[in-house]
Amino acid sequence: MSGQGARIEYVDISKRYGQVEALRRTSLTIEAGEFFSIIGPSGSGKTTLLGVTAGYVPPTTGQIIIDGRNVVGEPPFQRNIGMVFQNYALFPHMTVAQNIGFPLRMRKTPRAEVAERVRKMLALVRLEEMAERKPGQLSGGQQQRIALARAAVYDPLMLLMDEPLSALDKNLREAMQDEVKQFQTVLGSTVLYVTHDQAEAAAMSDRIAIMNHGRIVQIGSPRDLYEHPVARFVASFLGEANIFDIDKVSPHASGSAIATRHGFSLVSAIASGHEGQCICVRPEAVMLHAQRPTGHDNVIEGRIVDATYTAGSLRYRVELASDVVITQRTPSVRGAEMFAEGDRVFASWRAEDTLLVADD
Amino acid sequence: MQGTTGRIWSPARGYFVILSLPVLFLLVFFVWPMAGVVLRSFEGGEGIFSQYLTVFERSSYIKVLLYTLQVATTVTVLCLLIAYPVAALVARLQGKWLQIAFALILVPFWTSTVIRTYAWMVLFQRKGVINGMLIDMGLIAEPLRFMHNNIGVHIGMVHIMLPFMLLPLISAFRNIDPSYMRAAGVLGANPIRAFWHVYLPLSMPGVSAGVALVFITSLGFFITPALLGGAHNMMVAVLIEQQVTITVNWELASALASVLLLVTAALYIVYDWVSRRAGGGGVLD
Amino acid sequence: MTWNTSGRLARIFLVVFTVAVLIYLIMPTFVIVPMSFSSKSYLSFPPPGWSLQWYQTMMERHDYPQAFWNSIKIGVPVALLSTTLGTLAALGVVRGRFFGSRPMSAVVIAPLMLPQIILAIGLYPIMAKFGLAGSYPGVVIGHTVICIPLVFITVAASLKNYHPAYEYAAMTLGANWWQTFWHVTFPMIRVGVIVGGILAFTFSFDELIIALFLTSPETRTLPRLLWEDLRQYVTPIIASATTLVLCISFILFGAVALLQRHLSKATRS
Repeated sequence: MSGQGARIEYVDISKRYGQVEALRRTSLTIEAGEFFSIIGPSGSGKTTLLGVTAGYVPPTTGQIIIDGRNVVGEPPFQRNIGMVFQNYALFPHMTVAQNIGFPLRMRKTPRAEVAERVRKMLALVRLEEMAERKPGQLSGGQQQRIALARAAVYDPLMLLMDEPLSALDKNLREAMQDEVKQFQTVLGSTVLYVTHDQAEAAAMSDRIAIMNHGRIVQIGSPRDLYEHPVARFVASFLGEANIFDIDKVSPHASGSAIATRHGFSLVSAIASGHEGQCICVRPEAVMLHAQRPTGHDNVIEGRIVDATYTAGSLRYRVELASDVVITQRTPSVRGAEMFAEGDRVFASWRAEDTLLVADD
Repeated sequence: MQGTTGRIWSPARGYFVILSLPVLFLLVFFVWPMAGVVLRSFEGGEGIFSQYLTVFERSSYIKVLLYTLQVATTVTVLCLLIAYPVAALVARLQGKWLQIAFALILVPFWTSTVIRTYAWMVLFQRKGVINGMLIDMGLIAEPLRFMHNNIGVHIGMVHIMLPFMLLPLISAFRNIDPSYMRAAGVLGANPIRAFWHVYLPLSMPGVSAGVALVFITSLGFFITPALLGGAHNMMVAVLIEQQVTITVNWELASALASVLLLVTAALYIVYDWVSRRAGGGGVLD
Repeated sequence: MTWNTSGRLARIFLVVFTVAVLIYLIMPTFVIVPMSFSSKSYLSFPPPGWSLQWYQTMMERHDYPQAFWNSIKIGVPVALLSTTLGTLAALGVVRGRFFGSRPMSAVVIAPLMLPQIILAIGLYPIMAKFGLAGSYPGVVIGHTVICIPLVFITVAASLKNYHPAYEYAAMTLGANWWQTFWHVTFPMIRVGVIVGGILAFTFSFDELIIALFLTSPETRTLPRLLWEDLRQYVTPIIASATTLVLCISFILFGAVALLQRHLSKATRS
């Protein structure tokens, strides 16, 4: 039942509701078999993009080309796309087997084949014994797997998933991430996955697009986006970021010297001179020292305002100036000394970790 | 620029087609007849307003219009005064008692108006149940006349309209969090002040819905006034029917109906606007 | 007197008043039932003796059975037609949300709000023009106009109970409009549709004013016959016919109550 997923190309696609531009002109290509995620805050246009792809939201402009065929204008029931909805939308009046068989029955598949494919799908999600139950009698995770099975049973060109894990509790959500990923690998489907949870997207995706205000801000692999954010929005949406406002940038031997608006200067390995930028430093890049270190690029004196120990890591909040508090994170080592609230410390990081990103 | 999309499939277009069938039916069999009534009201005289001049010049017709307004007002006030305390109590019932009370309120809903009016005719007879009871109790010596006068019409109409007042009031009362009243008590408000400043304002959506429903429906009442009312006190719907069936004056009947239509529609629009502004849903929601 | 004792007195008064009002609501209807079993031709309560003679007289007259069957012959098509049209209207308005859906929903709701006498005198000339005055189709159409909003309200309430994602899901899975309605939407709103249909039948079964204008002596309904008889003489035959109508109304009322209880259980689980 597995096959290669399709390649999807969005050309100039946009959607306007009256005066509101839910989705600005967007072009994007998702490769066959790729696990592609879209993340962004609510109202960023990601759900609209999903609706436009599924076909129940007519786009204002543009084309969606799936395996060389423009599907814009086709109703959802002719597109052959599978979709998993946020609350699964399993039909409450049908059994699990009837739910999974529904798309096949709509396609007038012979009865024996329906039964066979439903059985295979149930085996794939390991819920064979639930075939005759109603969705209401299943747990959230089980419903989730049935919804996946139903969306994939007819070998759709691609699978759309709209925050499929958001209704589950945290532990189950992490287990289901592996499950979804494995499901996709077995079937070889192209997946367009929408979520507001950046950690979830990073764990599963080949590539991620970050959306804000109806447009894609950046596309890249999870590592790419984290290590090379192009904009302040990306830097702070994906993981934690310490952001500094720039006063003046001047050339420097190893890149650029930057005067911040907070009373201290920094060195970056990135040569720059763009207007409208700010500095982003990731919490893991920051090191804390009791004595002023030597030979470090950026050293600033500060005071610990908050120290927390969470499973596996230490997290400090350090006040560098009256209006600047940064976050620092290190993996905790057994028995390591901890700084206490009020301690004087020196924060430092390398010039390579002083990222210059567009300020939005 | 529209891109390359052309005519795009959209759910909204599908639902438009689905809605157009019933709307078409109602355009032919509801809007057209209504428009026909209004158009006919301008015919059959010299000058297009001649029917309306008749309606508003002859004192007997003005009397009917005023009587209709007066009955609708009285019935609405009586319904509100009776229904308010009853709804307040019923809204606080739970479980079986609530179901019983609801069943008793809904039973008349399911009983034909003709039948309920007939029941009052039986009860109101000279030698009927009510007169019999009153004489037996020694309250009166001679049987009272209930029919063909104001009393019968009011008792009968209040009986029919009461559920329409009770249901919105009960639903409004059930939406009031009882902790508000308790909070007011804790803060030192005596029961009357707590009622006046907390309960009454919070129940206003139910009051306005009930009052609008009862008043507007009462304006068009036909069966009860026709059977229990007298020839001297006629409501407008009865007059319209008589103009058609007895006098066969369709134009005058249409003018009277147009006046009734205008008043009813205007009241609904005002009510819809007011309740929308007050933050509640309108008639259509 | 303290607030406490006056409060208790007020509460007792409130309970007594409420019971009195509830009795006022239902009592008149049930006074008719014993009268229909009276042994005498005049109406007195309680009846001086018991008999079934008025039921027998009613069945022997040809107009009462005829009117009863007419009411059924009109009520059933009204229920079917208004259920179909009212359900379509509710789907369009609740799920549609397109430009112009508000004025269209106003048109759907309006027949229930305006006095029926206006519709009656408006429909009569149109039905006469098409040769439908006095026929079954004429009065069926007249009742359907008013029953569409009744069905609309109950079905719209059921539709608002669940999210449109179910319908979108069905469509992405390959179901066209009709398949989506038949396999997904209808099973989920079934109770609302049936309740709407019963309400429509009951309305038609009880309605007088439209029937007065749009039926002939051959097609006249039970309420119209009762009305005509009432204006002449008040005999226990009318009580018998009324009792019959009451029985049918209450069977339908009971059916709706059971359906709604079933529905509220289903949504709670």
